[in-house]
Amino acid sequence: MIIGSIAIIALAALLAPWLHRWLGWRAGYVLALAPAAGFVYYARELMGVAEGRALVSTLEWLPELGVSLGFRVDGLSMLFCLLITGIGTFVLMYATPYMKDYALRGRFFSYLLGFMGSMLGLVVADNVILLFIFWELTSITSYLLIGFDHDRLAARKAALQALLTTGLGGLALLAGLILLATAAGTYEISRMGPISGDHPLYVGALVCILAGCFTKSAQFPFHYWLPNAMEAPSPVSAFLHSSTMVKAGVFLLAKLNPIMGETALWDTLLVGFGGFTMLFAAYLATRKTELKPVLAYSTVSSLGIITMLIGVGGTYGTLAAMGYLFAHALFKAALFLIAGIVVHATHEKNTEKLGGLARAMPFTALAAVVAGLSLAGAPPMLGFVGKELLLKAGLGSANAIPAIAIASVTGVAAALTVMAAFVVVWKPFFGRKPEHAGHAHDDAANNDDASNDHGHHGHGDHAPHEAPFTMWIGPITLGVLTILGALLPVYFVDAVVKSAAHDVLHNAAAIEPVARTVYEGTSLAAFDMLYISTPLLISLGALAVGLVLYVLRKPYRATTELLAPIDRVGPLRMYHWALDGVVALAKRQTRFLQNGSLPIYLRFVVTAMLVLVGVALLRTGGLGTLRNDLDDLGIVEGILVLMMIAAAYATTRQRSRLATIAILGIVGYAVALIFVLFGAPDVSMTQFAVETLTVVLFVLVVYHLPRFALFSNRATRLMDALIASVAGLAVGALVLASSAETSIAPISWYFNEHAYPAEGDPAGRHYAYGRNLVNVILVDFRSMDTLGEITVLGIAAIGVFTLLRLRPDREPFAEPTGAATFGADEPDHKRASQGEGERPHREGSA
Amino acid sequence: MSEKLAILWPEIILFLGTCVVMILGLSPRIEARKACAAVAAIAIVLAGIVGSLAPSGGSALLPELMNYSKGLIAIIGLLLLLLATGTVDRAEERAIAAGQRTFDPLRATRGEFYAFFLFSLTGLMLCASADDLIWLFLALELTSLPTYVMVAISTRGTRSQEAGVKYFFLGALGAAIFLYGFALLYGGTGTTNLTEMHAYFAANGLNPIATAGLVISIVGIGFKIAAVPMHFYTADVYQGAAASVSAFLAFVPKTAGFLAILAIVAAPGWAYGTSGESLPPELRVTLWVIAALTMTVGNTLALMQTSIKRILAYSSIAHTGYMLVGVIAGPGDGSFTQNGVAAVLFYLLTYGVLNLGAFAIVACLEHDRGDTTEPDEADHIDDLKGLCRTKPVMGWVIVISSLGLLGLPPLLGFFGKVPLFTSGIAAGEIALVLVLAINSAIAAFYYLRLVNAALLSDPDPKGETLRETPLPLRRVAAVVATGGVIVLTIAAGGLMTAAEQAGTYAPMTHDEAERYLEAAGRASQAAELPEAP
Amino acid sequence: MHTLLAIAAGVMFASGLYMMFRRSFVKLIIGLVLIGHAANIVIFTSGGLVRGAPALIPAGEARLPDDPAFTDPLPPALILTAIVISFAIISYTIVLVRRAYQAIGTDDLDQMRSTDK
Repeated sequence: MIIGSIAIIALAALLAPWLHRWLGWRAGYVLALAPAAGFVYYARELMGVAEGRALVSTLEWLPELGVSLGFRVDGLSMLFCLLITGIGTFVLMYATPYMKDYALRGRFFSYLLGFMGSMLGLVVADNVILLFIFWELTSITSYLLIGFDHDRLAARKAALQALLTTGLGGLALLAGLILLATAAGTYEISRMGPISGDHPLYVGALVCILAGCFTKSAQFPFHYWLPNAMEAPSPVSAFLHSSTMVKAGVFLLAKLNPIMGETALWDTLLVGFGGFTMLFAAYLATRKTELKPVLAYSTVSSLGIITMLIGVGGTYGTLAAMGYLFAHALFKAALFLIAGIVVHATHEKNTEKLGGLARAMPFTALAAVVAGLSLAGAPPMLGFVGKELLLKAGLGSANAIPAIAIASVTGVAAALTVMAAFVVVWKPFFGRKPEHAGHAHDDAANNDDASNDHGHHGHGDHAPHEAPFTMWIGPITLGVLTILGALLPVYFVDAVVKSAAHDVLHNAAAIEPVARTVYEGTSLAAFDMLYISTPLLISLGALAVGLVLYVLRKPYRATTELLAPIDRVGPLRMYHWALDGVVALAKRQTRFLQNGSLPIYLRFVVTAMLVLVGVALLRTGGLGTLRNDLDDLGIVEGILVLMMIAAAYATTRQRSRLATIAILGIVGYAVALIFVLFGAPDVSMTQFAVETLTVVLFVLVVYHLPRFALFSNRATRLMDALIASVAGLAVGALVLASSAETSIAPISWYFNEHAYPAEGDPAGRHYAYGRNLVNVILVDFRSMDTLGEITVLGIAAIGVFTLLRLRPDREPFAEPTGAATFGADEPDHKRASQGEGERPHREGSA
Repeated sequence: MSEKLAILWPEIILFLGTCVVMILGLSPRIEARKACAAVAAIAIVLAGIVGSLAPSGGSALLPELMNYSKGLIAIIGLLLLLLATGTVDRAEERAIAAGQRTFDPLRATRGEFYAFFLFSLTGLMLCASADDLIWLFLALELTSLPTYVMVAISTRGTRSQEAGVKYFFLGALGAAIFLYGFALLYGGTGTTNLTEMHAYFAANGLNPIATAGLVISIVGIGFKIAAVPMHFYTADVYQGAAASVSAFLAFVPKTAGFLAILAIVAAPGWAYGTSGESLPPELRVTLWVIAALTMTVGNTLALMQTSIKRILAYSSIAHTGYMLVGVIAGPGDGSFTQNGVAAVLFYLLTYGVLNLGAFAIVACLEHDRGDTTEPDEADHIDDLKGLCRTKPVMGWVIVISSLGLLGLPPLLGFFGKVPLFTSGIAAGEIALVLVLAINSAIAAFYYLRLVNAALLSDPDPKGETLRETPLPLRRVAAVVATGGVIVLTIAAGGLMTAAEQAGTYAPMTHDEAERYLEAAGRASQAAELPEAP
Repeated sequence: MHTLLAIAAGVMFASGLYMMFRRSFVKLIIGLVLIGHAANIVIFTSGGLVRGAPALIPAGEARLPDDPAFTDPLPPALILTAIVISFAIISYTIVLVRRAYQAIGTDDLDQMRSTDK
């Protein structure tokens, strides 16, 4: 059934375009049934999972690779399943009227449902490779969704940026997961036991997996893509970039916590990065004035909180992490949906220009208030409870990190978040609308950054009105849940959060107490919270400071402007540098290496070869002894070899073609004579014949070509001479070294034995019945090779014949002229000097 | 000898097919000429069937390699053939059909084209059954020589001849280099038989001559697989030749080269030396450097290209680099996740199919320039813009092929890459696997440009001359390849088992080697032979 | 003798390589021929040089006698194959030169750059 829930969503994704063509824009409501069905299923199974009976479903797919479709829903996964399907249903309902005017909405729903299915698969996958597959699928669908307004350059760039960042992290994740699987001995997460920090693969796996999780969850320094992802339509921001996709990273961290979380390294890294991100992103959130960027940065901050909490660990920490994760998903999704409603209705994104919307859209305002209070962490919202647990966990942590540090950082971040919450909620709905707001439509038209009023021109200068029911029902429900969750945790929250925390803890002994503690110690009932404690004081203090900051927001923003230059070396800048750097490197390298010149290629090849061989030989300690027998020399041989050497050298100096060819002939004949002198007459005869034919052929063909011209300059020739000499030296040395090698017995004794039968030889042996051993080898023992040789000769002959027949000057069809055909980037100067399209006609001569 | 003949039946069938095709190409009757392609297809199919069913043979070190390879070659060879229909003589045939000219056997190249196609495949299959250096050399050359001509005749324009020249020279240089390496190997071990060479190395270890021979051979064969430093020809040649021939070049010589490298590297083996766990260090270092450079050079050079064929050429260089990781990793303990050899063999299949789809786009799209001239291939990225909307079938072919080559899960390319990752890690080559991962990321840049153009961009307003090729078989090839990608994703399990079996490695221990050498009469003492005076 | 032939092989190889680096098409072919010769000499030398009789089994006998010394027959066999194949390649290349010259009108390899980027 797990597979069923994914399959039905996938089916909906495939059918979406047709449904839209058939039912019109309302098809989205029908499609929302798919995640709704999933939600119902998971809700039914909730209690069973909470009591410890995980849902399991397996299907063999690629057993050789260790990939099976293994799905397992435990407490942690159940939490996410409910979030994905539940929020997903609301998002689809919201998106239906939202996307009413888009032409390609069928495709949009397809992508959105595709994402939903992938995300669902990610959280229920038990097999490491399967998890990665879904991970990458979520990246790709996110890319398609962010870039959905593909006419806008900003959207395309943002989509690419998101994809490249998360994709690169994804690759690191793959490597890390494989390392993990190798260390743990299995690809099934549920079967992995804890891995100690001393394991040789631990650090590598940790670094890689953290890289993957941090890129996905936009932790520092990979946080820059998330605000830019706000280019996507609001439903996408609400679903992907606040409540589900970006949580995939922290999900994986939570899931792997029992396996990898035993070490101090894990705790330190998570707390460090998470805590810093929490503070830094909260600060960045307060600097923005537009709705979605504020929410985006506060999302990053919240993810930092969760990361930090997983690192802090312990019963409170884990409970806090899961509780805050749950709460955040609910209220952040609500806030994004509300932001979408506001922008949709007013075409204005800047909070400073909005105001007094509560009158026009009461339900939305109500939802905004509830969600905003949760964001700010005010009682009695679930967000408040989450913050309390967080502070309690931090203060009570037994880690080496001082509790004070965590508490103070959290407090500051909380204050900043409160300010952000006020910015988003108070001013647009309850603040005074500034005078210029009437021109909101024109301003929106002049903006070209995150704008979602594509196709909404029909709304013109209408006064903003309440959104349709299906759009505000989502935020309201989610908001209400955050209240009810706090007031009546037993019904709405405990089963989910408690069992999730159970799975994240790596100390099995602490499980039972957690189950009880949920009801008792943390006292989620809001009234119980009102006994004075340090966490409560910090929270109230943060509320107060945040309110003050909000009131003083204009001077605050002015002050922070002074710090803006730091952006110049921020991670976003790094990303751009990296991108430009790779591109520039590629350009230069291409121009240098691939310039189309054959001789240059040759030089590279030979030089590289010499280097490689030299290095390999140096490692083995050189060539060994070289044979030196200059004393053992016959006169004739000596003269022949000297002629060979002289002629070879002379060919390089000649200007006349015929002379060169003739001297080449001398080399060949000298070689042939050497063969004779050393007892290989067959080869000698062949060499004579071939050399003669070659020379004749050469002369016949080359006769009509002009004299050798000196094309290259002196420097090039010297360099070539140098490379060639080194290569020649290497060859000579290798020959001498191999001649010195005497321990190898040649194999020719075999041919000797088997060529001709003698009397004493055993019967039944095969003989070649030939006396000329060389011939016998060629024709009998190695006849297949000779067959191949003849075939090659035949092919070359056919090739020669074919080439001779293709004659361009008799071509009746018009030929495409040179440069125009293959789109070379720069005009070919040399070609131009010859004249385009001029073909030298040499009818009779060649 | 008869068992050698038994394993050569596929090659013989192909060879017979070649002869028939060449004759048919000269016939004045149009039906006979059209039958060339059909005969070639039949030959390939038969050869594939016979090859897969034949008794195993070939190298004793990689005993199951041959049957798998021959089956693989037949399948991809058939698709390549479908893609190659209509490459040569198209305008000519149209003129003949219109009555403007009569058939002139001296001008027709169709028969030769298909003949060379089959010749090259013959050579490729021979590579798979090679267990001797000389056999390997001849097989490699038999694979390559026809491709030189195929490139040169693939279009009537000058650019393919230019490409042919460059390809030929660098190919000849490569061949000379690896022949020299083979000669050194012979000099260093006293034998050309690879099994015997393995026994020699197992018994006596590597000597400098043999090491030099190994390195030089691998560098020389690097030309066929487009590895650094022999990769320079790739972009120019792929762009200059017709797309169907480029697709051929991207698969056939590459497979030949890898089969050869596997055979040669198997001689010192992955169980070399006292530790018995990896390649000899000199060889490992060389391969490491080549692999890392090849991957990086291929991917970075592809980034700035606007010609689709050049992008695919550079990407094919990069894929070679990826596969070399598998070569270094070696068979491990034989299971698929650890078997680098099996990973390479499986990757050849996945790469072959994906690459075919990608090149098929260029082969299937052309700019119409009137009926008298040969249509121009659509080779620019801008030609892909909005393809998913204007010509959805072609559009999705390029999208799926690009995403597959990129290695995006859950497409086939991902499952080809994962074994390379896992076997590399299992062999302890963590650094190299990191390079592989980074390169996969860099590759995303340019593959996504192709996907972006086809999927998300609006059609180019200047693109009215763009049309699909009228040749149906090319479109069939493209669709089958893409469909194959999807089907194989689901059914990959069986293929993985086949590859795993093909990658079984049967090394000899030190004692086994000594006994083998003795039985072959080549114990360490010198045998009776005339002494030099 | 090995040493001198090794030097000869080295010189031929160097000259051939130098010719191959030149921009003229024809020089490239000449370089190929020289390298081919060098390779043959290398094979021959590596197999051991014996100033003896060719490997012909005399009439009436079934084996090569031990005295006088006979040349190892295998290297010549290999060289024969190599010579034939390099001849095939060289002749093909020569015709390619002719074609290229007809198409491009010059011998300069650097003129063949139309596919560069």
